[in-house]
Amino acid sequence: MKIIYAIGIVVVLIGIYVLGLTLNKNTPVPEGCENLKPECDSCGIQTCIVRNQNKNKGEE
Amino acid sequence: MNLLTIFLSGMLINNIILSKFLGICPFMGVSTKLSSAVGMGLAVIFVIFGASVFSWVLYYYALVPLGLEYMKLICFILLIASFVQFVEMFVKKTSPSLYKSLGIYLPLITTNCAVLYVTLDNITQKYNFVETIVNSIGVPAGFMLMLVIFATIRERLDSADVPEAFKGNPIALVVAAIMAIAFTAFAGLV
Amino acid sequence: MSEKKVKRSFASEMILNNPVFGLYLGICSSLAITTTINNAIGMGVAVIVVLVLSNIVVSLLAPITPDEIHIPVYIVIIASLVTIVGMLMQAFTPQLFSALGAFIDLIVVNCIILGRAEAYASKNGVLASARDGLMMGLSYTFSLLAMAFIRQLLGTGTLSLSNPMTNAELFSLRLIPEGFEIEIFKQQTGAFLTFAVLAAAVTAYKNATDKKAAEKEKAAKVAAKEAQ
Repeated sequence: MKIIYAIGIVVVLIGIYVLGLTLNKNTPVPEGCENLKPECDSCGIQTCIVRNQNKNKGEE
Repeated sequence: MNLLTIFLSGMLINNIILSKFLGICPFMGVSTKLSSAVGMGLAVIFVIFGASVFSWVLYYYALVPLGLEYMKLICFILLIASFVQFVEMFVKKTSPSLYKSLGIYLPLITTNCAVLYVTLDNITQKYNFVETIVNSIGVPAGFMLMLVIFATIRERLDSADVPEAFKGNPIALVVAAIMAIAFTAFAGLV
Repeated sequence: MSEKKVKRSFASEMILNNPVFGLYLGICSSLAITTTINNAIGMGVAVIVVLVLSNIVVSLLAPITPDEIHIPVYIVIIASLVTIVGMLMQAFTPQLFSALGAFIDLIVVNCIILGRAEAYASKNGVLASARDGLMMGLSYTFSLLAMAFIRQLLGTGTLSLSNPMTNAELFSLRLIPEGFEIEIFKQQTGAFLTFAVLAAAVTAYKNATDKKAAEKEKAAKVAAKEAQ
């Protein structure tokens, strides 16, 4: 019985995450914020997600 | 333990960056400009606060009654990830100007170990609800303090004559080492 | 001769693509738990186990995971593995578990593990992923050991190892006479300093090899021109 509760809680939490993700995706980015970029120049972390996203944006 | 003690020890004495070594990635990465340091700091305060409150409720009202304490790690990390999604959506909808300053840092925060640490720490320290709230404001406040101090130092470092190999992150860590010495002075505060 | 070449590339791989000092991944835990060699080995082994297992599971599940939810699925896999490893450590090596404290739990958010799951395991086969996990874990452990060696030697003056199961000392060697230890290396400052110096050394090595490669290329170009 305990295991069912445990699985239930995890499934509910994943459900909440997916709900949040889809709602977030469907919300349009406000005007003037489409091309936000953090300053990555002086940071040495080459594998950072934000940096790679910026690179992809630049290439497009 | 009184609330002021919890707040001060979270913010200064056990500063999350200098004495717990958590959240170093954003510390070295983001803190180059004062404006981005403030943005990141505010985002972290908000996410840690919200995630701590929710995880505390989840732990004491769902996991403990069901005897599933060992699930806390899995549940908390999922909770943080979904909370960040909702916050991002909410900010997008309500305030474009807030989104402008926080937006890019929100996705980064899911994998910021400081957030997970604070939610777990509230449980291991057996804080009650009020103490949890105080702790989860004090710790990220210390984080933001460090980001802001460091951003101002970093602006100077950029024009300093640093040995080639130390340029970038190594010199930042040397500065952090010196700051850690300074912060040990707070140990006698409480 | 070819064997020698492979060996050298392995060593330079360890240094140049080192996840900690080269790419700045998993810094948090490497700063916090490297006060003794024992802790470093314990943490390293825990990370290797989690990384290999998570890479295997992720590479098996990746084809059937919908793209939308792959991150929460990976997170759940990693968190479950970390919970299991934590429980095993608590049962069999309680001393080590309490020394490492919350940092066992924080393996979940260690960028190396999620990063490898995303970048490698989700696109490659089981065996290749397991091998990649092992390599990454080994070079992570190697970096932890390098830091712990310096910090323990300078901070306490002795090098020692003990059996994590029974907590009996295996060997202990005093290299710096009592009274000459540098206490600060046991504290936070020492962690930051050690890390900074090692990271700078890696950067210097990287710069030197880059320079060499550039010079070689230049020489080759000149030679090619002369031949013409």
